Amino acid sequence: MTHTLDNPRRRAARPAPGAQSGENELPRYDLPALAAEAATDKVYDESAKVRVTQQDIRNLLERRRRSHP
Amino acid sequence: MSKPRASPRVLVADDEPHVRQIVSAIVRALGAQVVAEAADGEQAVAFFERLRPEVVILDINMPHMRGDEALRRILAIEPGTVAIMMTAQDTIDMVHECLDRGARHYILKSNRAEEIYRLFAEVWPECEALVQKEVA
Repeated sequence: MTHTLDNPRRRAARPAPGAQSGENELPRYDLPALAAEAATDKVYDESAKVRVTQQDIRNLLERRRRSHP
Repeated sequence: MSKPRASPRVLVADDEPHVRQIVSAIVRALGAQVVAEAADGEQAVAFFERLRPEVVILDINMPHMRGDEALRRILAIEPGTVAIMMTAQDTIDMVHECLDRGARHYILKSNRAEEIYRLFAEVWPECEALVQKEVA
């Protein structure tokens, strides 16, 4: 059995259903699927940069000091 | 009669001169002595090696060497140094990284000036106690 990684971007980059692939035609892509994928990427990037307030930092410091006095 | 308590000697590092001025004024108002002001991380480490202050206050986004790298180098030289990060960097990753590297406090520049003073005043007794412990 062959395992393959299913890349959603690659999936979205496949020709849209119903698209004719003639020799002289430009490739057509499933743009809504690509847009949805781009939005997911953005959410991921934002989640990697969670912003904190001074109160969050205070709470974090207290937690760390309780666990490592 | 108790012996007068030595005030901590402090190094302030920030690439913005007006921030250095404000932080130094706060530190002096808290009864400590500012021994040097550095405009970047490299200068901060060089001043630290020469003057060995007990407390360092470091910005993160500085030219030549960032404050988080200066923090690592300073604590490698003298692990007992009390390090306070004061920065506009408000991402949880950066806070964790600096605390993991040994910073004792993390103050956001986005606070109002009076809040920054209050935060320094709040953490200062702990800084003094840590300094006293190191000296003893």
